[in-house]
Amino acid sequence: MKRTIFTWLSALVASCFVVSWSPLQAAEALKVSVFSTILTEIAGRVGGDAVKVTGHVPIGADPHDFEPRPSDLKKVSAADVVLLSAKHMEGYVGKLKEATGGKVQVLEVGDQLPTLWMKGAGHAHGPGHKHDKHDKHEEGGKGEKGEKVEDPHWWHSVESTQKAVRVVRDAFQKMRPEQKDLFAKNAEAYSAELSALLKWAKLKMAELPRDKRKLVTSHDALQYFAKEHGFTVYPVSGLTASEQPSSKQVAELLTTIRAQRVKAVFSEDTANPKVLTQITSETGAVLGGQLWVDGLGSGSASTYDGMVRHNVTTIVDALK
Amino acid sequence: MKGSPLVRSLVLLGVLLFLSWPLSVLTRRGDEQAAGAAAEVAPEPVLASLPLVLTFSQTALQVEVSHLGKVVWKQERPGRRVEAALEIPFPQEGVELAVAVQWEGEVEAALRLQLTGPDGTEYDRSVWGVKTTEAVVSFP
Repeated sequence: MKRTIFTWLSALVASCFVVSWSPLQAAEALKVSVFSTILTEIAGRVGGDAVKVTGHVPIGADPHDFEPRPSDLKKVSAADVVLLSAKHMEGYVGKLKEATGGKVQVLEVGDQLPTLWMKGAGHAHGPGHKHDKHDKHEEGGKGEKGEKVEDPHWWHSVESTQKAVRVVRDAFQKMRPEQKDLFAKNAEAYSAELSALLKWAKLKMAELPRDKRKLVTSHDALQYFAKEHGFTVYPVSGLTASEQPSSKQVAELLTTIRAQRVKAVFSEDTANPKVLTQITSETGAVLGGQLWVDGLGSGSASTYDGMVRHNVTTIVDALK
Repeated sequence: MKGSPLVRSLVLLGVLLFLSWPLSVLTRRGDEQAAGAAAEVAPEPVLASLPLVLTFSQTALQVEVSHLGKVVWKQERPGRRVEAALEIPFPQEGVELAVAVQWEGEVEAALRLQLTGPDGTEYDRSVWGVKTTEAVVSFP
């Protein structure tokens, strides 16, 4: 009996010894806090099992309205790196930096990608999109009426998303040089999937005549999409909760829709159905469907691939 | 001015209506003219016969050229250079052609497309691939 107990104890001690010296123990998972549904997917795909990703913005949530809760700030302070969409998307960046005390790397991924511009008045920032005293972007992100501001929705360009994959890969490699090859391999595989997705999108888009690529959307969030696929965007400012279009803006839009023979208009929510109803009843355009513009959606649009396929298919099928 | 206040008010109202009528007509006409000018509808693109020259770096087993999701030109083993005419509309925004090629062999191959627009402008594009090529080409 004693001999058996001794044997089991020896085995237990030996196994603990082996585990403590294993490579897994040596490389603890990188803790990544992410404030974008798109980047949550990217971080998970690039990092694989070597990272522990916490997505703070739920799928389907409006990032303009999001405000981190105390529990989010607590998790952020324990993270190794924080990933932000940036280009002025997260007005609470100052709070995050304060919560981490400058000890956690805050990577504003979008700021390392090419920028397109949109009209300030056309982009309705929600309550979460305030620029506090800590926000280094305060001046650049206000978006006063008539002023041009950066379009923060860079993920609507698949090529920009591929660049974001490289930015995240580089950051992970810098923080965990011993897992450089793993991150490179994961990023390459994911990027190849994105190339296939872009090829599919281009082929699908080729079904739509170039002179019909006029996009009337609820708010100005598709400049990157428009550039990648040759569209002109006519945003209906005011469809988001905090902004109402003037009667002059609506009249101009109605004239444009008639003149450009736009067949369909698209919403991302029904915050201002009155304007959409007016547009469809006065121009003959139809409601083309709902687009996912502020991040990943629900159902089949809960992945980046699914979101892009949903948006492209909805637009092409409604306008052709 | 003599007469009862009621008569005087009615006369004044009549004068105001007389003056406001032409003003109203003038203003309305202005609006209609402005709206008419602004709502000038873009013309529909007309069908044109566009010359297309395809040049292949390797032997192609099959080539398909599609416009708006429909195959507009197709040929098997077309040779190194072939000329075609595409009957498609060419709006001022341009056109996109989807090109699908199956190549013989497994080396990198290229296809050069030279399209002449309705105004005589020549566009020159190339696509590459190994074994197969599937790409969208924009003109301009």
